[in-house]
Amino acid sequence: MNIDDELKLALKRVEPPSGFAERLMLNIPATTLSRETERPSFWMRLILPFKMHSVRWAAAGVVVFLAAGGLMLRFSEQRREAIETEAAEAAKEQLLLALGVASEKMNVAQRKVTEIGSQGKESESRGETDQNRRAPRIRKRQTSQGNRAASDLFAALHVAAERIERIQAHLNDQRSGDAIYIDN
Amino acid sequence: MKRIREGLLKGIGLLIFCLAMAEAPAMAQAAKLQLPNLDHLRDKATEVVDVSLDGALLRLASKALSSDTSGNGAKIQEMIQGLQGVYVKSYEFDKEGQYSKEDVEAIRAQVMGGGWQRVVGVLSKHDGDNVEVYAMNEGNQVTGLAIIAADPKELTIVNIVGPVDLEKLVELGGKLGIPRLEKGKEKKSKKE
Repeated sequence: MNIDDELKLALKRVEPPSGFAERLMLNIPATTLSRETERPSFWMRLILPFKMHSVRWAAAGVVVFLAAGGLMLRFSEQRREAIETEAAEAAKEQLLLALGVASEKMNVAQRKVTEIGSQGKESESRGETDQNRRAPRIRKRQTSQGNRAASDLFAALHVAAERIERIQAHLNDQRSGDAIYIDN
Repeated sequence: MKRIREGLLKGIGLLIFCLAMAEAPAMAQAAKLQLPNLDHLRDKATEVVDVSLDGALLRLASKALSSDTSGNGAKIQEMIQGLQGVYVKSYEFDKEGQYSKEDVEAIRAQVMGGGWQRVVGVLSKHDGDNVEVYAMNEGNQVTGLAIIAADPKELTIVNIVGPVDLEKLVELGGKLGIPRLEKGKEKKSKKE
């Protein structure tokens, strides 16, 4: 017998013994049978993709929670930054306004000081000009005052000379025995 | 005995250090004026400027200035560096005699002594521009500035706490993005 005949013999279709199917069905559990045989309902088919193990559900929940938390944190951070930027801008505006007022007042003070300084210089120079203008008059007045003083001096000297002459005369008279009398 | 002496010396050193550290803010705090409550002038005033910036707000403003791309921000930022407070109260009226002498005297009393020195005092009977500038000095540095500008129709009080460069402050007017406020053309914000 060659190999082909041997294979044909070995793989020949053999009918099962009678009652084999019944015996087999008796050995399979009823639940398995019903699960396999029952067609899932429409709603069950809808839920079926979501039907997962509880651990997977928990994991998914954690992921969703973390994602939501992250988003909320980012949102609150952005909001805080926006508020801070707004406050910073407001503070900047206030600062510029305050410095503007302070600078303006400092400028007013500086301008006033400069004005007063320049007025002082002007008055000084004006004073010099007036003095020059008044100089001849002053000199004239000074001259007249000097003349008056000189004349007074001459008068005094004249009186003194007269008195000296009179004293000498008296002294001469004393030598001749007369009393000395000096009047004022 | 030696250990006790070392401990005592360390203690004294620490005390001196703490006192030195506490002195700087104390000086700065001294430069802060107790601005009187001038709320009664608000209703009478046509224009009100009320700015009160403490250290935290100044840092915030400095942050905003750092993002200023005009180039002026850096200069102002440099100027306000180290400042601990900027306080301005300015009231402009449409009629004369709206504020009392006591309102001004309450501030003037604070700058009459206590380390304050009058830098400039302008009393103009001609146009009524009366400005007094007081500075608090620490060494060669101005650590505080107070300006009292009492015009017939305007009362302005400025108090800057911290190191101030007066020349830079004068230069700020009309520069660095700060509008030079001209009399009669002032644009002031009325803060509610």
